[in-house]
Amino acid sequence: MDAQMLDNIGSLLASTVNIFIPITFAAIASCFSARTGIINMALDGIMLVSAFFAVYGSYLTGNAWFGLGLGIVAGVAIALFFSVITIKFRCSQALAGLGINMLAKGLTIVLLQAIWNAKGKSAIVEGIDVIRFDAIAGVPILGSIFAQIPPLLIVLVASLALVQVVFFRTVFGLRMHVTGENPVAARSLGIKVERMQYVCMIISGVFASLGGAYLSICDVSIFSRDMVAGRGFIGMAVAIFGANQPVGCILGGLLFGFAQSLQYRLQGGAGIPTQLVQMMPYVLTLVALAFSKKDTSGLTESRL
Amino acid sequence: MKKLIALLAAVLMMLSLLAGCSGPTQGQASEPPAGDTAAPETTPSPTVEQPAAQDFKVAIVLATGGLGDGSYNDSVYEGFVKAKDELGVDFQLVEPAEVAELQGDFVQLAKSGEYDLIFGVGYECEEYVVATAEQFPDQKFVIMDSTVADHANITSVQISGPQMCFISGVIAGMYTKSNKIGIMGGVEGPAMVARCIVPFTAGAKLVNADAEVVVKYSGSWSDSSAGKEIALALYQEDCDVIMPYAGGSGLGVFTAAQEKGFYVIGAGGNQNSLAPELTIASGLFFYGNMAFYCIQQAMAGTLESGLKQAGLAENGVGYTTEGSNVEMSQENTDRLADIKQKIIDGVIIVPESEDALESAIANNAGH
Repeated sequence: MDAQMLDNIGSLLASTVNIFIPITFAAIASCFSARTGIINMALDGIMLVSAFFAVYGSYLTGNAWFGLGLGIVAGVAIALFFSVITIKFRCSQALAGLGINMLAKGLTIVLLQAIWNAKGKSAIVEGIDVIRFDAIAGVPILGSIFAQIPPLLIVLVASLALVQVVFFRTVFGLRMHVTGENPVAARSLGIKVERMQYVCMIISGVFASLGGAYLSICDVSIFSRDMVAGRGFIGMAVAIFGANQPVGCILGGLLFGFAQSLQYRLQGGAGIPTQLVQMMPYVLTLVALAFSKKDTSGLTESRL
Repeated sequence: MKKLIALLAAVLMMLSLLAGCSGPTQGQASEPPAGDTAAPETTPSPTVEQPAAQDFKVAIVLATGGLGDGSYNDSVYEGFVKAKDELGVDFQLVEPAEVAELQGDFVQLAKSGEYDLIFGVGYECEEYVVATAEQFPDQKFVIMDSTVADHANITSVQISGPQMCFISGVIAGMYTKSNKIGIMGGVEGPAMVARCIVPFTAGAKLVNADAEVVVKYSGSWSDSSAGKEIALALYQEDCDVIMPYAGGSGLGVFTAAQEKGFYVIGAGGNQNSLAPELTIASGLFFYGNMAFYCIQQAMAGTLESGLKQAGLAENGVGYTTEGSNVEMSQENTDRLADIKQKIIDGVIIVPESEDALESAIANNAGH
């Protein structure tokens, strides 16, 4: 293989990782809610709001990490709002999610207008810098992917490991599972079902916010309207694909990221219609879903 | 109690959604220096009666993208603000959220009989304006970005997007070293090919016969992260000048440029400040100029119906290097001015369909 070829593969995989990060954050967020019996339909809205406030925080202080913090706070606030509506007032999860997604869209545009006097985009702000490993920059393929690592990738990998332990090695994880599996049985065992759901929705909010904030202050350092562009829903699909388990989320996220990245590179060549190429990631995900193992988390289909 | 809170929450959500549609309209109302006592745009509904504080009243129905699109809505709006400041025109702004609202908006405005001129923005409003114009033959209409030419009470203004893209292509052709130029498009469609890619390609080939144009689409007008990945993929294929033509998705191209160091050409508005060291220039639509021009003509009673083409000659499109730190040599500046003049004179042909591309390239060669 010549150098150009290696370089192309490196670029393909680097792009895969970049697409993988926000989607997988959304997928973990979806796991936490789904395991306690809540379908977090508001993921997209939570991501959008946190993407906005992350940029706003960075704009106010010039510190992107402060922005990330503000983004998480705002995202969790929206997640809590969703929880109160669905857990306390028993509103339909689909309806509440739809409402919040619309709310998030309108809210961010109004705030854009109020703060930057523009409905399309924010100012460019200080972003979270990548961590550079210049020592491996020259190594083919690996250099392209790992010579510049976004700090949130490290957060993501660490979280995935932690979540794996929490889900399958802790009492908390077991209680979560029982809560989602059979709330009546859980209650009879003395588990405070609603408190469990609130806690998991907050955690779900944190992960969704990390995904949203990644898009704005890590990837492009600017907020533009509707920039989440359905990634919350893709994240949900990835979580379902991965049977609400971290390992499954990694595989699903990588598969989707790779297909998307490949799609970007195949476009404009060999005379294949663009629309067909653009369908690829979604078709691939559907096919993989159809052939993947049956849902092993024990969650029944009736929940959707 | 629970029901009450749930109800309140529902009302709150509804309100915030409405605020998303109409709030900004009101927010903008205080912005233009008030030339008169009644600022009509503070009432979003066109049906509300206005005290006739001004002689000349104009209504404007924006395209569904709304203000802040950084493109034609904003540009037209600027033209109106200018008309208000300089000509003392009173204007009513309507920001429809969906195409479905357009028919009602136009009929209501026309029915009120208060407006000397009603503007529709964007080709999506064409059919509704035509229907309303037939119903109210005494009402004058202007459509921005349209080709309707056969109604006595409609003036259509078409901004020559192709001429703008042609000039952008020329600039790209001058700066590329790899002879590969990228376009990062939004959603693929026939209009995208005919009005952007074809003229851009012809422009690039005029100054650089070896130039090759590669097009990739983000599949969205708002996904800036996907825009960035597309730009990186184009760069990986050796494109060293990239033009975004994708609304909000295009913003990601500037971030990618700063990471990799390729050149960018902005489109539709001055985007030079997004990456001043790497953005050579931005192609511009001057919808505002044309809106202002139409109002001025209408006030003088000389606005003619039919189609008005607004290209380089009419100051409807152009380009700017303001805010860019990329140096443009005197030779290139002169060449651009020369090409611009030749387009105006009709010596250089700007093709607007794939079939016309080859012959246009052959015709333009040598200029």
